[in-house]
Amino acid sequence: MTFLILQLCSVVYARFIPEKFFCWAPYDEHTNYQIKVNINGKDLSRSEIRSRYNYLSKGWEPRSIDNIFSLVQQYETTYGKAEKADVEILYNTNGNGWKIWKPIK
Amino acid sequence: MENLEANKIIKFLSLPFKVYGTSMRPGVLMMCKIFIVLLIAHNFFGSITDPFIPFISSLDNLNEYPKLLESIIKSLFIIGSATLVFNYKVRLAAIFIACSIFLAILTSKPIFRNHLFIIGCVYFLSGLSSKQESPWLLFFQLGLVYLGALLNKLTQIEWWSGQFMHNWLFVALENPVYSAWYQSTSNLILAKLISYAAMLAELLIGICLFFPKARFYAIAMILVFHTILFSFTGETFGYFMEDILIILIAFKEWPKQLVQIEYGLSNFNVRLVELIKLLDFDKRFVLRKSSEQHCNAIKAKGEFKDFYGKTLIVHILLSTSGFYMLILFIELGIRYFFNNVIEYWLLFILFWVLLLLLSPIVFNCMKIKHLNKSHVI
Repeated sequence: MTFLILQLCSVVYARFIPEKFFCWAPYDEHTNYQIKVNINGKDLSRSEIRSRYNYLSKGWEPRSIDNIFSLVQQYETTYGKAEKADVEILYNTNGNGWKIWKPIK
Repeated sequence: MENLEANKIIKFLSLPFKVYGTSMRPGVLMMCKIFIVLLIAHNFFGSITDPFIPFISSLDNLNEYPKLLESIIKSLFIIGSATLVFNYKVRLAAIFIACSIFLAILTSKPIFRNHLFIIGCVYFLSGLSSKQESPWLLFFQLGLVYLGALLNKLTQIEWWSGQFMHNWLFVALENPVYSAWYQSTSNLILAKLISYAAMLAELLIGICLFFPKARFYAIAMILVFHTILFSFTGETFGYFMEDILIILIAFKEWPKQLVQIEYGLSNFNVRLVELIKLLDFDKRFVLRKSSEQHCNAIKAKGEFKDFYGKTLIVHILLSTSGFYMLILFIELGIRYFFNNVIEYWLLFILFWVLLLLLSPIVFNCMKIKHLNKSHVI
């Protein structure tokens, strides 16, 4: 029962943060996105970006787009910090128009 | 002597297909075994890595010992799967597999998927479930999934305005039915209606799962809801739809005693009996020819004595491990050998055939409930 209560807490906690992990939130929003990475003037290919984050560089995200922001931010401030990559994510949530997100350095 | 050895080997090798005689309920063990095949088929094992963008940052420190955490997680999965498949310490094995899934997810943010997380939760709760009582922890888990999904949708204004559904069906999926309707009307009424219907379904399913008397309706609604959802969108949401359907196996009450089946000698019955013999690895059904002449019926004694005709046949099939394995391999085969339109139509046929196959139980249970008698789901 404790295990289920922990999940319940996670569902409630997710109301107060942008990321939606461990809270049973599939398809609460749907985002078309594309990750672009430039290192020392060279644009990485889609497969290079996929290898970098172990995540598709372009496509539809059926969970919160903040989940992708979270993993890119974490990568760029840890493993990829020394590379000083220029990263931007173009995204369009629920068809409301394109926006750009960049990791905080 | 050699025969004895051969029998022992055959008995051991048939264990993966047997679900009786362990500390788990047969339905729960069946579900756990099916999930192992599903996880392997979807390359869960290959996705296990050393810490890479972990949820808990301190796990990155373990990268100083390459392959350490990866080996631990893989070992947990292998040991858990092997022992569970061969019916040894099955509850502990389920906990091992759950731990391997949770660790794999915590170790790598990019592999987080709801369809993987739910399997971890279900294994963990199966390991805690007692054989003597109904798997209520699994009912609660499933209820939490539906109500959690509902809460997340309720707080999204674009689920109320229809904008989410419109963008998903019209732009992302280019759904022909919805697109044709939208192009002729240019409003979001249909998108709103579908959104509200989906939220209402999740609400009803979620609530019904928490109440024993209403669980049967929840199961019926789950079957119908997901089959319609797949038919309309062509999506199984990773393998989330399969997860949900496989969890339902745990809720099936399997016969506790041997069940005697008497059958008339019609062509259909003879073929059916052959099929049951093939699928019934636990040998729970004792099949006998009817002594009555000109009898084409199939009848049961013991626990299934209240069921007749199609309802009885479906109950028998649902109480054999071979049936579930067969369906799983058909589903995986379709996914492996076909793509796009053919894959969609073959899965469409499979899911609707399954729904129609189960409908005699649904109608029978409703009738029995109406008459206020005890019933088996």
